[in-house]
Amino acid sequence: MADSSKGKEKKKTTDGATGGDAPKDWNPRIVGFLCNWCSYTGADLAGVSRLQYTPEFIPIRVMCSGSVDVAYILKAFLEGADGVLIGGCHLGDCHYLNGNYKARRRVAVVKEVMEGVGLDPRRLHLEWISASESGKFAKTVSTFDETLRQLGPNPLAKERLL
Amino acid sequence: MTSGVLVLGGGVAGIQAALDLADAGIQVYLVERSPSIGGNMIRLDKTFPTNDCSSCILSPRLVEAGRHPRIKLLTNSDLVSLEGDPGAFTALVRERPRYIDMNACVACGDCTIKCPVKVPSEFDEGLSKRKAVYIPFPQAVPLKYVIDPTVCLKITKDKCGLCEKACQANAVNYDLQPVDHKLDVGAVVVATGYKQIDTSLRPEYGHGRFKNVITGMEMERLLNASGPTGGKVHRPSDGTVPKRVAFIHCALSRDERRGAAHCSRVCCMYLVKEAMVAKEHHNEIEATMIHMDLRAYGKNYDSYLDRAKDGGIAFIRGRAAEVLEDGEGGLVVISEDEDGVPHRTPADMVVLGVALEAPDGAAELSEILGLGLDERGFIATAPEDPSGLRTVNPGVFLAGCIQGPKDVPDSVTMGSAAAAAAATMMVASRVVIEPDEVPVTDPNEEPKVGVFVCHCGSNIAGVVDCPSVAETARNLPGVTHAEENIYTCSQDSQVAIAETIKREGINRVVIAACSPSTHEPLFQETLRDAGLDPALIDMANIRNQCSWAHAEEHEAATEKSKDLVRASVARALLLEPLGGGTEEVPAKALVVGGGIAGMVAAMNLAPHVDVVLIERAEQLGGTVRKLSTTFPSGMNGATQMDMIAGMVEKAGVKVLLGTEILNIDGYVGNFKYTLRLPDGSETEDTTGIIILAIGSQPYEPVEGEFGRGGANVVTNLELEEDLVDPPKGRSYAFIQCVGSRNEERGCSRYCCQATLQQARELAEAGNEVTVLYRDIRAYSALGEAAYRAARQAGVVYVKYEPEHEPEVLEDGKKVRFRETIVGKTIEKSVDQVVLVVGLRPPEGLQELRGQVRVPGDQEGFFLERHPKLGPVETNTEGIYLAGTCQAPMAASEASLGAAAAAMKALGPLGRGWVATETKVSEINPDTCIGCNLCVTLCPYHAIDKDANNKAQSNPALCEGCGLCAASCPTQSISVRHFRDGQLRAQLHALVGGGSE
Repeated sequence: MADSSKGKEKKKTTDGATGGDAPKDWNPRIVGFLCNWCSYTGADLAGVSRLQYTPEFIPIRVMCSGSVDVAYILKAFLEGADGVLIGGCHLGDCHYLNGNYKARRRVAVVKEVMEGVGLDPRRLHLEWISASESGKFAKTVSTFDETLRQLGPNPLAKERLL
Repeated sequence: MTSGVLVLGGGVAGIQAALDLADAGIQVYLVERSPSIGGNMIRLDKTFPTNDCSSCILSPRLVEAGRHPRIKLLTNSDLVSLEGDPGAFTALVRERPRYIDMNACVACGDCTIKCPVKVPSEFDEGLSKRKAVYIPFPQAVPLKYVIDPTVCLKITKDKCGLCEKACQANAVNYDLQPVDHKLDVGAVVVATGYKQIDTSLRPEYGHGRFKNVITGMEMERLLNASGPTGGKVHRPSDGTVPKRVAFIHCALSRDERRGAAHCSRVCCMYLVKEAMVAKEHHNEIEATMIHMDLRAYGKNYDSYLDRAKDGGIAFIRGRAAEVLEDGEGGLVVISEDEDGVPHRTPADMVVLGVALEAPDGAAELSEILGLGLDERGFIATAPEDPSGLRTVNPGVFLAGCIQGPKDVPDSVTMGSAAAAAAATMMVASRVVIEPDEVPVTDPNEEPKVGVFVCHCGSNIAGVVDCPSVAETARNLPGVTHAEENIYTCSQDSQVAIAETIKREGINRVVIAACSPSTHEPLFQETLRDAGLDPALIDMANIRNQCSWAHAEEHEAATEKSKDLVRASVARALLLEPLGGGTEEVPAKALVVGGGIAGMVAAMNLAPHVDVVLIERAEQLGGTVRKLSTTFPSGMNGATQMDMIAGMVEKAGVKVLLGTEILNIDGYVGNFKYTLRLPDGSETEDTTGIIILAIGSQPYEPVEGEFGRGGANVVTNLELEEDLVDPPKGRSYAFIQCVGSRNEERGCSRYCCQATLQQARELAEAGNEVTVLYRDIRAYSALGEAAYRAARQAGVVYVKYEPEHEPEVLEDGKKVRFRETIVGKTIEKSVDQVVLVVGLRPPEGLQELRGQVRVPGDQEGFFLERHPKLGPVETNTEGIYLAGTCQAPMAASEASLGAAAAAMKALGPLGRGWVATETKVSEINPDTCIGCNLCVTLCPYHAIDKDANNKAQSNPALCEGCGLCAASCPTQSISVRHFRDGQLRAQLHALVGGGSE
């Protein structure tokens, strides 16, 4: 598992929101930054294989997971996303040699920042999904969706801090 | 029709040959027997030793081959005849009917859903079913359906016809007939691959009798995430995960009696890979290898084996004799080790590393081409060519496994090498390739967005309310036109869209359809046709990542489609024209190093461009010149090198002997280098590309290591002098793997087979020869036969374990070693000890690495671009690798690699230009604080500092990954086409609920 917050999984929600607060018809909105070479293609293949996942997942194609600026992640949360998924090539497989290592480091930092501003770091998830791992893609989205359901709506979105 | 090269076989070797030739401006006819290119490699799950996903790395090549303007792809086709002479053949190729009109089919898949016929899928080795109308696999090229006429009810019994009714594109036509193509070709590359041997030749292994005995290829499909079990290792009998899996190596390989006498070369590694991947998928699996010599001869293969051993995979040495049922639903593998001790390995599932042999039709094909078969049944090579590239017909070349089993990098190398050989016959037919003209669009024109919403038959429209998506689009700011199409990608829609763009004055295009990964290039062509810069497009992926993924949620999928279109429009409004950039490449090449690799590279380039070959020594020929006989040709090294040096001279290569390279600077098309000439003077010149062929150096054992320093201890290279006129009546002990296969280094690859030759010569001359070895890695086409011949000549082979290394005593008059069969330590008196030494990176490699920006590998050799698909390229465009400076290899392999490097170089050299990336980073010098972060981060060394301590990016080197932009603390960097504002607009539209 690529996510560095593994050890924190057991923690209670740190941003005050809970699944119980959610309106009845609420479904977590997930922004997915998917790298062009691996994860985006993996997501395409999930479609070809007719694997089903939440329609609230919306993809944004980027060239490399390493090109996902901290500002984009924060902007996604400020705009109201309940979760942000970053999908990159497996370590060692990066089309640009080592961009995914940089992504990993950056995500670790953003998670700390999130904790600082009262946003549960579990709302940000990094996963290595290769172009053939359609099953892993669909499962990653569904598992993430479950996690976000437990966390409830993004509190920043509620307050519209933007 | 222009004259071209005929490439037979669309596997990885054939595709490589085709792409290389086409990139150099030569027309190619790529003929494939099955309905899609891709060969066997596309069916593999992962590739050793990197565990790269096989289809992920190969699929882009398939797409490239399918789209290349100079590759005419003929699938479902066979060669019927070849007439004429080298340089002017006429080939007759017959294309069997697909029963699907390729121009009309949009691969929506509506036909296959309706088809009632189910038959075993060839792609999945029969482990899943396919329909009578099908695509072989999702990434097939061409991505067009095909009807299997042997099982289609309409064609066989004139019943059914459901697919014809289902197809809204009217592509189904049951009356299609075979089409003959008469092709003018100058040369032929044969790359028709291999097949697995019939396992019923050894029924005792149980394949076909016991459900849970499967082949290696079946295991590949089980491990594959998109395979029949979704990547779960389920044993065929009951679908459970087997706890104990036994892997039988050399199943019908190295088997003179009933199977193939040759080594199949790939099985050792792929079985270990399968075991490792299986354990990754199911940690509880206990894997056992039942193996003979472990032939892990390639780059990083030994460390891969070590990882497997550390990862808990068990290795039992010996030949598997039989697989039995244990009476309780399990299996037992009976094997016998070298000591004659039988082993019983219980297993829940058994995987056979089945021998590879020539594919069906090899005999017929060799007859059509007039080539003959070798004793193994593969197509015969010319006796004078040890590399296996040439045949008795000077216009026909071999690539990949049709010459004998090979792993992927060797097949790729040989594909490029065959292309190089073919290209030398096509010098006059090479066409001038002009860079594509990019239509100019005024960036300041007010954006007018046209939105095209695709129904994809019912693939999108069956789930998403397309009219309402188009209606939403029509009302978005900036949108001046929105329409729906049944198939946006169909030929007639393309024409109509181009007309609409022109008529409506549209200057930004949004296509709401399938994936940009597969279809954006197609629509970009439409933009070009309409006179727009092709960068001014954005695709909303409302099929693969919407309608297909939310098939039951019509309303939500419609809302998501609208959001995706909103985001695309928001982004399209901010898109800028990118134009096109090229860098000129002069027709000049520099080859550094005049050994066999450098000479062959130079020779292959010389018919096309000006070549300078520099060599530090006073003579061409490098290490091979020192060999009394070379393997496998048996030719004297010096004679062979003189012959090639003569050809180099005749080809018009400018050779500079006694010359050293002092410095290299610049980039593709514009390299500058400094030389020191024999008189000590320095000179500078420029070149378009550089091939590095600086070789390697033999390991020098330290004083005392295996008795080194003793009067009777020599290395295998020092022994060569004695072999010119071999002595008689002496006793020799060879010690293999000196300086190889230790903690720092892997196998040196050349040595086992080189020793076979030396040992046999000595034995045949009447000497007593003992070879102390770890594994005999006689993997090459003639390797196994040479191994048998050496044993027959009386050479005694004794295996040693690294824990019990042989000892050399009394200045090399005595060796002490552990005899594993009798389990005793033996002291043997000898006249000479021969240390068989590995290869090390040569002096000066380290310094060159910095100058050409090519990193080193774990052992200090040059790091190739990709271990599988780019073995002779580097990550620096315009720098190529030939021979042992990339990794240890045999001379014949170095010559193949050198020809391959020349072919890769002929891409930019033949065109005379390279396209530069247009989506590159731009740095704002006004806000740059000169912190250096981007300079250190850039993987391509594309950023440096200017005189004012500001970062500057070189567009010739930038690949557009965006790492710099994402890391810049002052937001001074942005990447064209992926600018901050564009991404923010997308985000706002997707999450914030409107256009910004």
